[in-house]
Amino acid sequence: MTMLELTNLCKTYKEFSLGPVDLKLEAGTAHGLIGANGAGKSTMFRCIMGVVRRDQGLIKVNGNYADQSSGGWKQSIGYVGDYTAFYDHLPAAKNLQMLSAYYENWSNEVVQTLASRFDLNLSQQVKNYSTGQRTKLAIICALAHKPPLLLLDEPSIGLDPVSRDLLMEILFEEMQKEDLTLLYSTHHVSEIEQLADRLIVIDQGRILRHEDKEHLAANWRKITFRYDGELGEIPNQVSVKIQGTEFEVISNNCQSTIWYLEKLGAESVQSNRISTEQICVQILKHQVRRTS
Amino acid sequence: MIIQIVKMEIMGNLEIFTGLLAMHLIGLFIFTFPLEFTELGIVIATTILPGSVAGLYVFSRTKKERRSRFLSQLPVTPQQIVIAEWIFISLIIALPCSVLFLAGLMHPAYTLWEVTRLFIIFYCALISFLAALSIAMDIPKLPVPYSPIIMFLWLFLITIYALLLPISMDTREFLFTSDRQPYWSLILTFYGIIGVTLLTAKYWLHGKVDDYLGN
Repeated sequence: MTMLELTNLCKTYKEFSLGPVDLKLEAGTAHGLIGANGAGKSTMFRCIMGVVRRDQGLIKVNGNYADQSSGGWKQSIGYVGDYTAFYDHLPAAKNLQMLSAYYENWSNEVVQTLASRFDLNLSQQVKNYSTGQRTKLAIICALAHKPPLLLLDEPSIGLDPVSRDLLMEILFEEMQKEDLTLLYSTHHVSEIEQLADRLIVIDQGRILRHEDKEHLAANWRKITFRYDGELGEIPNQVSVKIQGTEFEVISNNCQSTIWYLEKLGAESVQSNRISTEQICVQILKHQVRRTS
Repeated sequence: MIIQIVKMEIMGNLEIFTGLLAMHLIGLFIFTFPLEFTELGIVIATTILPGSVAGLYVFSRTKKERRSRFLSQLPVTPQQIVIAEWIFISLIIALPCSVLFLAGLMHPAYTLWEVTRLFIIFYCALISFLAALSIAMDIPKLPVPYSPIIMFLWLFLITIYALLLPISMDTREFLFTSDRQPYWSLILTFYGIIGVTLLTAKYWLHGKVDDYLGN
């Protein structure tokens, strides 16, 4: 079952355009959305949530079209944005109580459990919260109504390492016990590496890749070899480092590259796994080079 | 759901309500009572009240945008938010008008009917003024044609009216009859037209153009 479907989603600002974006997230899967600053991650989230009006495109959430005539489809979404506004002079508990009136599946038990795990004092006024504490409150709001789709836009910003770790732990648990679909945007791939099944790389408002993490890891490899001679363009080469006769190539299709190198007569050909973070960096760098 | 949003807005903005109330009570004691609720008192109140409401509105604008973003994430429709926002603003406006109403009731020279009419006039005036201000603040962010003209047109209309009101009170012309009785139907129709037009324009702008909640 498809939990989130974006078709031809577009949003244009004066100096930035998102899309057209086509994306399908199956229920029960976790996706990491990776991109540089200003790549369009937050805009995409805001368009999905209806915080900004999209120029065109269709959004389907849990089988319902996300349109302006009804707000019911938002019941299926838990969202943590880049800034979550609350009524600052009220205690967090009061803020949560007011929000609970809008959601059918709101659970005070979830609120209490998460607040206790995050060590968050809900009787405190929100204006006295630090950035990290506000984020924790936003995460509680997003999870309290047990949504089947979780949209987290850089949720770890402002969180201390312990809380960040705890967030990951909570997300792991949620992914296991529920048929939850997760879209998690971040700059730090390592953060989502364990959790995500698939990675979405976005640049300049367009999705460059939406691939299985394992598939990426299998194809994107660092290949080292020795070759004494003139080396032309290597197939699927993304980057190359040369030290005398020693070569280090990053390939986006290692099998094809190795086959070519062996045919060429290269010596000591070795394929090494690279981290998902490095793969994403290479994808983005490669895109920059192609664009320029 | 609209009532729920309004309730939440009131609970979440009690400081605005109390601040406004305090401001108008102080204004009332400073200007209206020593002048014995005369035309001058009303003129000053006409200037002070919209000014103070507008000032507070502008002051809380940044906060309001964040609130709007917060509201737009809720499982409600944009239309419900816009309607709830206007009910909320109408309630805020009711504060200074109620203060004037009370002051009028306390004054022996004015009947309940006269004070009620004054309340309605001020209420409509402030609604129109805030609608104009709200649109004027939204216009620069929206890609609509002739935006500078639209932006200033409403403020211009309201300003002209605000100027005409005291002048006509002195000269006993235009909005007032020769025995200083206002043409209530004319005044209310004027405000009604402005108010409805502005609300429609705002609704249209929000529904039609770009981001609908001040982003």
